[in-house]
Amino acid sequence: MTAGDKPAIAARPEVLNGPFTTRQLLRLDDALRGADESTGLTFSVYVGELDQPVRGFAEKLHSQLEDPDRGVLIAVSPNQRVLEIVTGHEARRRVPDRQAKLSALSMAAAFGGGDLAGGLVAGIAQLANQAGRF
Amino acid sequence: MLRYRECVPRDVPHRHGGRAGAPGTLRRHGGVELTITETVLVFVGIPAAVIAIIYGLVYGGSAARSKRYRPGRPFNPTAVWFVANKQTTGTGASSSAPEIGAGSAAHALSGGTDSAGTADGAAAHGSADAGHGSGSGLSTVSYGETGGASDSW
Repeated sequence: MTAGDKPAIAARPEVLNGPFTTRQLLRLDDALRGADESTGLTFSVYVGELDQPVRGFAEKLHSQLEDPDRGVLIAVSPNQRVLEIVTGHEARRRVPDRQAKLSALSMAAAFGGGDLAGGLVAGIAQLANQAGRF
Repeated sequence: MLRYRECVPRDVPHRHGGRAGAPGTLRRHGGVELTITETVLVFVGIPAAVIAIIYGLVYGGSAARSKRYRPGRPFNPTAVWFVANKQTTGTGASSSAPEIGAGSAAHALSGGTDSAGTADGAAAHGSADAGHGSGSGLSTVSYGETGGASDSW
């Protein structure tokens, strides 16, 4: 069930075909876990194409989270140069839209410089900081 | 003090003594005679090899780092979707975050497209909202279900 039960050396995981290197994945992992633990919300990151309408697609992704009400989805499409932050009903109280927009701005600045992982890690930290402790 | 005649071996042809002798003469005195093949190998082959090595280092290296994202250039790696992996909290950072792999994400997305209910409602609303808010920089969702922000770069 946990990742530890799998054989240590498996075939090349599909996630490595994604946009991140192993080191960046570890940083993201740390950031996501830290954000979840410190806020009690569920942070999620999607990086890939977003179908039109982008907002609706991101919300659809968000609705598939385990607990959408407490979920914060950051959906990034590097190709379309679009970023969406979706907060659930409960999460929205902790992260107001204004603060989400601030995080989105700083993330977009990093993405514009070509730094996907750095922008995501910083954005997650910023959102988690805003949500505070529960 | 040595005189010229004592420094130079006896069988070196004198400078003014006419032509160098047999083909073996130069080689015997440290000179190198190259055939055409050797000349081509040395003066074309070796530079070409050096150029090829440098070329390989430069472009082979960048191919390995082609994951790098540059805004404005096509960038289509596999889509990934992460949530924090809570189960590995105790075991340390033995695994990276992916809980929902790219394949399952694509599956979920395709499944979500034709599923009725709230997802479609949200999508429909999202389209209306996108149409409404596309003019302003801040196109947040105005209704109570989900919030957030949008941006582009």
